[in-house]
Amino acid sequence: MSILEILWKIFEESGFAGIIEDPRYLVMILIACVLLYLGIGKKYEPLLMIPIAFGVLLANLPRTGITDGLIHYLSLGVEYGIYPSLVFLGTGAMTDFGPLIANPSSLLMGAGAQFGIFTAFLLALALGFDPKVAGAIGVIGGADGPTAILTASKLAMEYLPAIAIAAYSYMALIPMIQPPLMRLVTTEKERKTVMKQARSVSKTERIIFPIAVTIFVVLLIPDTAPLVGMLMFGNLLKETGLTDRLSETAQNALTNIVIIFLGISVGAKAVAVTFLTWRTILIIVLGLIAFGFSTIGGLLIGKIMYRVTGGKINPLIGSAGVSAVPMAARVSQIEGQKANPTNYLLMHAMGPNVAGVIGSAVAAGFMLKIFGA
Amino acid sequence: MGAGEALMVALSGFLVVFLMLIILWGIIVMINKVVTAIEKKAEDTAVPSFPEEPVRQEAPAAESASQTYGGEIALYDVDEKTAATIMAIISHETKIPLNQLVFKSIRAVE
Repeated sequence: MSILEILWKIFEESGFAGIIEDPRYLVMILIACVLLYLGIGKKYEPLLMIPIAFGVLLANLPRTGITDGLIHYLSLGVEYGIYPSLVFLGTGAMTDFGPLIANPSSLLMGAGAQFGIFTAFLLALALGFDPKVAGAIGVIGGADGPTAILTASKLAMEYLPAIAIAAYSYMALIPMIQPPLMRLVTTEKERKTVMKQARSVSKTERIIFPIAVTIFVVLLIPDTAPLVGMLMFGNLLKETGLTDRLSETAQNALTNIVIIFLGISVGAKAVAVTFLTWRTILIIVLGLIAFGFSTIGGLLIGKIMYRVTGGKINPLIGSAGVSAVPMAARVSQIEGQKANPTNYLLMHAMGPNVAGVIGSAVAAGFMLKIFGA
Repeated sequence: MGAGEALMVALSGFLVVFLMLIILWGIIVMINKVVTAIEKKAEDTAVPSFPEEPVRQEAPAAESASQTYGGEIALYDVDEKTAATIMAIISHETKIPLNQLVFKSIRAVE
């Protein structure tokens, strides 16, 4: 065997030959690079976007066999819905439900902001998607990455990467997507509304809340147990004040490890055959529509509450009902201050914001209940 | 799935989310009422942890005459220096001059 033959054999077995054989790999590598740019250069949800993008890159380098080995085993955590639930454990440990307990009427805005889920579900059906897939696409409108991933892993595994990428991209784009809708739906007078300071919440209430929510919500819709159960468990660890070590682990080490595994596994599901289709583009568009309608739903409930309370509630906090904690609440604060510089809406907006997390988990549980069997 | 059935699923899903969160609202209100009642009962039966008659003190002097706080304030387990700091912070955050604010009492929670 001559040197030339050896070199040719090395080339023939290399990934470059694989790309020449199927140029779609090259397209996927370019997509991975664009996603990496969005995560690193534009700072779009970098904690998840970078692992997802790198997963896309790894899975689309031909002839590595990595998807049959390491990635295959890591992906089991997605397929069995383990990672999203563990991310919820960390989210619960980081979330302060105090603003929601102090002002429980904000639950209505959290419910209204799930409007986009059902609108996108109907639109996806109209565009010819299977009902299960339509349900998973709709959940993008909940603006909750782990919930969208869990639902997609159960109902539409082949579209999981597109759904996850859409969900996280739009969550990162909330400061751009929501403000025009907020100004469109509300009047200047409404945006100027200054809200009264909420009451203080006792430690006992904070401890009872996660226990009561778990018992009630999970009993009614058992499919919400992995999300709501873990969210509330994490919150209980935080609020008891007796399990600080566990709470800290859930917030930091565990969440960080799970995010690495989750991101890489989800990204690695984006292979050319299923990803490079018109349906991926449709999913991305439907995700944007879902986000828009969810924002409008929350704002409309906010407007109703503004009227009902005689102008005591600023409808801008309604848009925070899409989960995306705490970014959506920050957007409410920024828009509120633009209308009235003395307005501090952040803590008021945290109520609908965390209510949205529960609302999207319930909506996802509903989709799983109806289409999961 | 037909259009009618799809619409029914979407409507019932939205309804379920609303109902669930409305019931949660009720649960939160109920928890609040029960906890408040229990805590009030415990407070009534327990020996007060602070004197019945709080030490009424002249409010701490502020930095400049124009910002002087002229009211009287009841301090519960709070020293003058801490009270002055709290009042200054509130004045700064709310952008209301100290002489326009009225503090009735400051109490250490725990």
